[in-house]
Amino acid sequence: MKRRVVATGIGVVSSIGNDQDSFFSSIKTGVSGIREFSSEDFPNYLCGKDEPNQAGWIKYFFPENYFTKEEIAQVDYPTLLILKAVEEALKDSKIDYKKKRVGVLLGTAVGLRPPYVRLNPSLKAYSRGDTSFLPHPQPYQSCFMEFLIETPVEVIHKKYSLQGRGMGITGICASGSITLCLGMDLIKNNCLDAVICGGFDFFHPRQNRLFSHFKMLTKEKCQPFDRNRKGFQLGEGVGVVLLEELDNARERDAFVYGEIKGYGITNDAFHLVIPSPLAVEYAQAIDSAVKDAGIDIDVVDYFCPVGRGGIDSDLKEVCGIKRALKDKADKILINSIIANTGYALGASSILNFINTLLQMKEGHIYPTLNLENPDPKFNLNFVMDKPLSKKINFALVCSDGFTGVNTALVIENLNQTQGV
Amino acid sequence: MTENRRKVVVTGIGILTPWGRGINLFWENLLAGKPVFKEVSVNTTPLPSKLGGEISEFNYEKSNPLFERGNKFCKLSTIAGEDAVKDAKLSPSKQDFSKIGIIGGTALGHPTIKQYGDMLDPIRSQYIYSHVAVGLICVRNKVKGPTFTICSGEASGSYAVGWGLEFIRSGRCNIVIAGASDVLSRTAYLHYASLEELSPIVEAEEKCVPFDKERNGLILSEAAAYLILEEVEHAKARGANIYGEIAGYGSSHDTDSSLGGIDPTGKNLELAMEYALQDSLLDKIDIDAIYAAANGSKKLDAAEATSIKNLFRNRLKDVSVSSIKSIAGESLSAGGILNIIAALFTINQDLIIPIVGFEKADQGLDLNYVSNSPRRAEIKKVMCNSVSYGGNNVSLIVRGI
Repeated sequence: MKRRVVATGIGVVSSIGNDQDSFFSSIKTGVSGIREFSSEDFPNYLCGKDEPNQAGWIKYFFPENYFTKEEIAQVDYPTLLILKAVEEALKDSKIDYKKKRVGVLLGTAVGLRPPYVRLNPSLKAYSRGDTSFLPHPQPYQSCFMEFLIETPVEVIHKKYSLQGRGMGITGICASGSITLCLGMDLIKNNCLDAVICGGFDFFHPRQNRLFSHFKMLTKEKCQPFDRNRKGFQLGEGVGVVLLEELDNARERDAFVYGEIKGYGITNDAFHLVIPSPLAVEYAQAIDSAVKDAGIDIDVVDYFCPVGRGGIDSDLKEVCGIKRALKDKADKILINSIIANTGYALGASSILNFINTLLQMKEGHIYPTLNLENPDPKFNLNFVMDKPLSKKINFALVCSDGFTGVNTALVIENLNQTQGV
Repeated sequence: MTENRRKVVVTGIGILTPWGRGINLFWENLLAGKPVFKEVSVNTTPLPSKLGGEISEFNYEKSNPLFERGNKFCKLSTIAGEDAVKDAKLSPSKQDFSKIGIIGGTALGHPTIKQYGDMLDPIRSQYIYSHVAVGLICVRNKVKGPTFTICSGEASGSYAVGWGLEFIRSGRCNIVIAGASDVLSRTAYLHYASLEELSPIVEAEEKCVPFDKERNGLILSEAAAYLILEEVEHAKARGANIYGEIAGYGSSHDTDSSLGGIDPTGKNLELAMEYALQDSLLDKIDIDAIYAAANGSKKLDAAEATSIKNLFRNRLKDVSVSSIKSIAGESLSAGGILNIIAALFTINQDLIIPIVGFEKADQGLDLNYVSNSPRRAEIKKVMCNSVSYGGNNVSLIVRGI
């Protein structure tokens, strides 16, 4: 019998909310988490003159609210954020993770970058070659574990005593959705019963300088798909989705957010930084996802692109959508949450996925923040101004990014009663 | 279902080791049993460890700026990856490159501390991400299938091959370029020294002798290795040279080891080996030799020997156990791929690489070790293990065609 894969748990930490509810209510009310940062927030960092000093960074996360003192001493700050999201997802799904084969897949573009406060004493000791140079509190055996993508995976494994495999994955900006794709395969092939899929990336001011050098950032507001779009601001966040086998979820009477029907991953093979303008491969990813799902592309009602607000990248995505959907392209509903959260690199694709699931549950599609005059060239059905009441039966979530990775996921709404 | 699943073979190998570029150099030096270790140019003060396998110079064709600007990590991976593509004679005009995927792996990637400096330089900063190595191979060779990079410590390379296997079996790809690479750095030395795994752990001679009673830690080495995994009918149809078959893989995760540690009971590694046997539809009796993950570490070697002992029980004397790490060093994520390449050659030439310098095993862990000179025996199936500090265990089974 074919195993079906569904999402039953969601956990979020983002610049617009530290849990599912506050994250989604910020999207509903059009709150933006993009705020200024200064050298007080990131000590030892001087912002360049031309450099936009805004980002969707997480200002209001207090580990004391979620963890005991011992736990805080054991784990570094970024990993605490990830643990918080994982905990929320597990609670949300009410899965008995001790009895099932549960695995962990975490994706990130950059990996962990310890904040300066912690890094500074380490670096000094590092130059001395001191191997016991961890600043207090001392969470790990080696300072470099604070950098390894593997570390949060191990921490989650130890905390919950999980039996399944755990892996750190990077696919740059598409990392989050790649974990979902691979997680789906693992459950389908009967390797595991459930997978904790997560994407994370944390803001680092040097990253800001870098993106600003490539003229991708803007000091003005981020306006996805707008005629006046100038660029975006970076963000940070953690998104975690618990995938599991449908029968397991039904047995437990868990709420099913949606079923992942199929996926496609392709690569532009065009340029490291610049997206391929023709978007042939982006469309190919959508095609293979739709084929994998065994559905007709006409039934898809909602499309969730990255929608960064970048001049080239938005153009590429629109090209890709038109190429894949052909004459149906102008009927499909589209929105983007990057203006709310900031562009969170590896987490952005999974935050988009979470946003899609939550909109599916509510039966509403919310307008894209800051989108005022859609680019006339685009000619697509962007959701603007006010929320749209609509039952989403099938949704497509796509992502693309640096090094040309494109992913597409098809989600089906299994709840018949909701929506209008 | 399992009877008619797609078979996966290796049709190309690209490898860059401290000995140089190419598989023959690698195999000849392994057979000669000359350890690769020299004093490294990396600043390791004040650690007592000075040795390592370093790729000090590598020949490559002058290339475009995209490649030239890259850091060592990217360059090594790209060279190995492209050598594999050439070895398998893949070309975009003959194969459908959208059905080719690349799965990379790395434990540490571009050295962490250098990343902070590189982030401020617009050119260098493009290359600091672990996935860029794979991205470069994609862009330069126009590979358009699924791509991602696995960061699961020393087991990353083996995981990459495992995922490649699943991608081909499920039909998502016809060909997967799977591999891994890691470079030496001060970061790596300090990391393994703080984990108390770097030789010499206590004051002693710096050496790397897996499974030996007097072992005192691992010696780091750098390498990049990529394999072309291909569906067997696809390979036959295009007349490709077939090195051998990857019969199956199994993986498990320690539930009770500490962070950065090894489960001393070896229970989970045993499980991984069992899964690999199940996956490849083989029995314990079929395995002729094991290339172990053991690298001279006190805990890891004992754990692995225990798990092999518990799994094979009364068949222990029929299974030759060896590790190439006494000669090639601990190449981190690439180690798993080097094991597979050694296994392919072992099956082909019926010679098992020995553990150089091996004298006496731990008490109660007396397995059938291959010591000091290559052993000639009829070999049909080899098991290759990979274990990461932190708890990933992967086991792969390689079989002749």
